[in-house]
Amino acid sequence: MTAVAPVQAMPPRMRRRRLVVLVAAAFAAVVVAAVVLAALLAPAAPEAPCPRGKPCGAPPQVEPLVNAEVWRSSELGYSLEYSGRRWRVQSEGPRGVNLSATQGDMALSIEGVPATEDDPRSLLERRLDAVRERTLGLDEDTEPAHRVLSPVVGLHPGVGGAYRAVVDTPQGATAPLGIAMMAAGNRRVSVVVVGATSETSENNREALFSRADSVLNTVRLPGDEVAR
Amino acid sequence: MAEVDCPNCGHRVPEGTWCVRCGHRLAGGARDRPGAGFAAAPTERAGTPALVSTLFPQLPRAEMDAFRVALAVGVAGVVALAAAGLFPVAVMAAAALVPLLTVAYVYDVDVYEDQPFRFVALTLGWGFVTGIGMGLLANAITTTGPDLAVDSSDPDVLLRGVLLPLAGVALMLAGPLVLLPYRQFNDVLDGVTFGAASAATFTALTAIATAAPLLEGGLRPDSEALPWVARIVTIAVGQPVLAMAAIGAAAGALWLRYRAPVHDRGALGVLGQPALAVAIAAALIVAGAIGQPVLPVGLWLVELAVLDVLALLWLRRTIHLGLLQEAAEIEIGPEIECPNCGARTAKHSFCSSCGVALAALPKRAGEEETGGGRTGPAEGGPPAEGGPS
Repeated sequence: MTAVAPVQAMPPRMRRRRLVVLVAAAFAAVVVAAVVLAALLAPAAPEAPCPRGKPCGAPPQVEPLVNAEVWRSSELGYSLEYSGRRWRVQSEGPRGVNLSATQGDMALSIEGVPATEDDPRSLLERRLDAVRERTLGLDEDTEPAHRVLSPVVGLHPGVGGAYRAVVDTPQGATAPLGIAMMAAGNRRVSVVVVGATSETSENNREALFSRADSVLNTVRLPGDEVAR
Repeated sequence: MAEVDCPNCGHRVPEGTWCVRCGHRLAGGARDRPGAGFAAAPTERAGTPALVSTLFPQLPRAEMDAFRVALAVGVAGVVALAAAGLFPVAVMAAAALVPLLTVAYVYDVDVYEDQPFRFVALTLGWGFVTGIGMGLLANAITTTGPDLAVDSSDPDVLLRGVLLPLAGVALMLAGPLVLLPYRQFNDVLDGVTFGAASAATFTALTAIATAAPLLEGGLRPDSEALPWVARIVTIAVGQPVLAMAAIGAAAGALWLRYRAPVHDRGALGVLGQPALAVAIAAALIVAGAIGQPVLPVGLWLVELAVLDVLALLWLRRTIHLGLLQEAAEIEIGPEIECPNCGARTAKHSFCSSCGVALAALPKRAGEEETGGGRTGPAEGGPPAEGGPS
């Protein structure tokens, strides 16, 4: 290297105080912008479908299931039905199936275990832990409209709850999720169901969970025919 | 001015506390072993993974304190936002923290000299644009919705944890590499600064673009705060520091290989081999990314802290040896006032009073004087003026 024009060392351009003030101001601007954006984009609060003290009108219309696809667990023998127009199989195994909504962003996972392996409550806890590992900040959803009031899978009352979490990736935290989980079973099989959606619009969320309910109502465990 | 023989470099140098050529402590003391003091901040050891003096090496000591305070207050602020449940806001603020400091740094020390547009476009601007692209691409081509939460098999772990980070390494380096042929940017420290600046904005904008859907979940969504606090620290410090240090060190190795004199190119040993340096940077970035899907967020934060330390040590060594190598090429010039300590010192590479590397202090273009300068073209290198060679 040959010595050429030197670079004169100079004091920094900004005084220390001014530097800190500028960085703090820019940082505050980012915070304010994020607050404003989050407030503007926040979903509207759920509205009660019926005015207080007045007749609520006709019950909600549920689409009849026509040409429903049947999925059956090869290992545990339980089955469910779903509309091929509304759902597609994302992945499946001998004990369960993951469905993905064809319209709207929703995933529905149904997984069974022999009742001797797990009861519904411990199965729910185990599944909750698994979802917690795969998401960020899983916590109970305190919105009253999202509460799971009477968890039922097929013909079987069980346990369940509503939760919120965020999908996390190495590139960054991303979609907020609304999650509903239920588990139920009989003496032969325990089944846990996880429905998750990234839809933040209350109307879309309600429609998707309603479609998920339609699938859950069709779950039949081994021995259900005898019980009926 | 009386002169003494430096026991480290063997040159006759002006008497003082520090050698103006090699930064070796002449006056004796605990840190008078060759290379013990970090050339850009002689009061610190070269083997200490200090964050601010490594990522922002051209700051004078007093300014480093201001940056340390700003960083600490910023991290405390974003942690407070997360603890208060304002998660979307905390993510945006955390991602912006280190890039804001980087912008303040490059402006404060006038890194870009007389090429502000070119420098900003190909480092900060390049990282900004490609970071947004990477965030949008990641959301578009990988499973980031509810399927990821409910499906225990994760088909995209290779894509998100390995392939996209590798693409990120290539993008972060690509912008600064365009500046490599320019003669006015021929120091190892220039390469380090360009790589780190590009990485800072790339990492931040990737996180912001990826997190855009978070804003639709409301200002204070129900969520457990503790995992969020850990995640916010990864966004504010863990990931950007890793990217800046790894990419800065890789860019420094490239500058050393292609801009330094032939006999200086081995200064970094095997870590100075460009192919190996880029491979190590890529391995560090991938190791940092793959921890997210396989570890709980708290452990991932610990993993990132370890990787940050390794990357900072590597970058620090690159800066230190780069400054020492460049110093050996210069003739001693007239006395000047040290911008770091204010004492009079012979114009060369290190202040004889405080030991700071003068090349690691703010520069102003066009105010060149004769004698005692540094940085000419590499042997067989480019012509003397301006543009790419």
